[in-house]
Amino acid sequence: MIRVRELTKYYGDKLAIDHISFDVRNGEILGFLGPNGAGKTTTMKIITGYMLPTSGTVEVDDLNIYEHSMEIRKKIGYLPENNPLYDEMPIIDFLKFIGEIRGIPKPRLKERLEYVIQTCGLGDELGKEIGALSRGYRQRVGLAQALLHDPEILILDEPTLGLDPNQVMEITELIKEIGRQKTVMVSTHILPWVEENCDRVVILHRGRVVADGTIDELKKQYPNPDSVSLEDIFHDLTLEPEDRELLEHIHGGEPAGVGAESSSEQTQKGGEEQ
Amino acid sequence: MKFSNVFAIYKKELKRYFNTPLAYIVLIIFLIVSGYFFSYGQTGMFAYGQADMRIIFQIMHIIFVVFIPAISMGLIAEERSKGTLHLLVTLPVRDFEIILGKYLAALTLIVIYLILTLRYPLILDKYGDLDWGPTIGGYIGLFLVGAVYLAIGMYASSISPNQITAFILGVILCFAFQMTDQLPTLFQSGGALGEIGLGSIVTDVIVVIISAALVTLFIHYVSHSVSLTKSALYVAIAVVVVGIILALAKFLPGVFLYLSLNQHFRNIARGVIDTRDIVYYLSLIAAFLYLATYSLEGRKWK
Repeated sequence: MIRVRELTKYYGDKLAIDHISFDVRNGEILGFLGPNGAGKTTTMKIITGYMLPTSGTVEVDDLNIYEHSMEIRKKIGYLPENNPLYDEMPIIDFLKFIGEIRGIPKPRLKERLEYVIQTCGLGDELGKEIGALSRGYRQRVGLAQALLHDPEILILDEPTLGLDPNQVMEITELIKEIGRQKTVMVSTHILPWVEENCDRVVILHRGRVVADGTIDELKKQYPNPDSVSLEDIFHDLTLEPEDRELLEHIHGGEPAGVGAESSSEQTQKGGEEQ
Repeated sequence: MKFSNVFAIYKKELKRYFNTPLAYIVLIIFLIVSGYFFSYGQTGMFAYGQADMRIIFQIMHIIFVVFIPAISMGLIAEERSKGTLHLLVTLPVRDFEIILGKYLAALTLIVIYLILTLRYPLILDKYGDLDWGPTIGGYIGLFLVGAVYLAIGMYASSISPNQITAFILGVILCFAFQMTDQLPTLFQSGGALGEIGLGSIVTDVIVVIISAALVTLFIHYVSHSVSLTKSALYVAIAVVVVGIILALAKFLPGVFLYLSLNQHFRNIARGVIDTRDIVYYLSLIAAFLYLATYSLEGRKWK
């Protein structure tokens, strides 16, 4: 359980997040959404102990980030933005290093290594240097790293960034699989996937929470909930006024966001049924 | 502090050295350079004609100014430029454990270098009558001096955006610490710390820490400057600081003699191990490792 309360962060005099509050409940997959620059990464960096907020708190299982950063880090598996990894290390050495830093005892580490190697499908490339891997494979190593200590909570910052559609499918399937047993907070721009797999979503815009709830709850706020997609809601809440006009123009004067894309949405769904 | 964390970082860093060409290249180049000065030219054993390590120690000391920043440049700066620092500092490991683990790994490389140069005294001992006392003292001195330069280089790496900057900054800082004893000679020669009433170990330590902190904090600010007005302010501060340094060099030359690594190294290279020299080295190492940790932690409040 992550409890974010009144979290505020300034970079110099630039406000990145502005008094945001939300919860990540045990066992759920939370879609953490918002346009680039909305403050998603900043929030995740604060939860994971990379930086401290200007004000506000985060509690993870009643431990707060100011006093119990180390304990919190032990509970969390984190895939940072852009998935930074040691390129010169072979996968297996890298995972062993993470295991050591995480203080996993030797016999248990062997077990966990087998598990993550199997789950993330790393078996064939273990001896290969990380720098020589494809992006999709890299991402799997990043996930393996985050999973190694069997954390209660996973925080994944854009795990699908820069992947091709096939790789996206592999990774999102993997996250879905992992999410069955864990609490997952994932930021991504792949909204159809979020709509299908996330229990709840939090949408940030310009450093503020503009939506927080299950997807059904969010849809109910619109006059025609059945034909609204998460993507429509996202546009409605976060499009800048000038871009909104652009959207209206494209859709022949219909109001942007709500309902505007209902027809295309239906054809998409029809396609999936076949 | 958890030693298992320090050890894990240490092992990873040592592996990085020997899995990449860097360690081999640096070791080979510096063995060639020190080997050259040991064998040929005016400082070579044939021309020098004495079974004595003093000159070669002085040369190795000078080589350290370039050699050690080359070892330390990547320690933090490379992780920063590649983004892996983000991963590392969010693992359950304290910033000081990261600094210490990396520091010890690089120190191991310096020890390896020193061990590889042991053949110089062995050669001298074979063909002449080498006095082992000053030789052992010299090696202890080189180790301590190397440990100080490494702490300085590590600090340079911790405030630099990339390896090249870290290397240049490291060389400048190490050179400055080596050569401060030359500064007072601009005005006058001689002078000792005792003459200005700073004889005891306690005041020595305070002087060293304050001076080191001033110099490094100043460089810290400069390397983080953002706007023109701020930079102008820093230049103004720099002028004042340089002015103060020059004034100090004129009126309190003892301070500069004391701060210079050269000065302390000369004592140890003679085979005299004085607690004041040891305190000097250890306080510099502690000060720079603290500053490196501080600059790594700086991300939290940016």
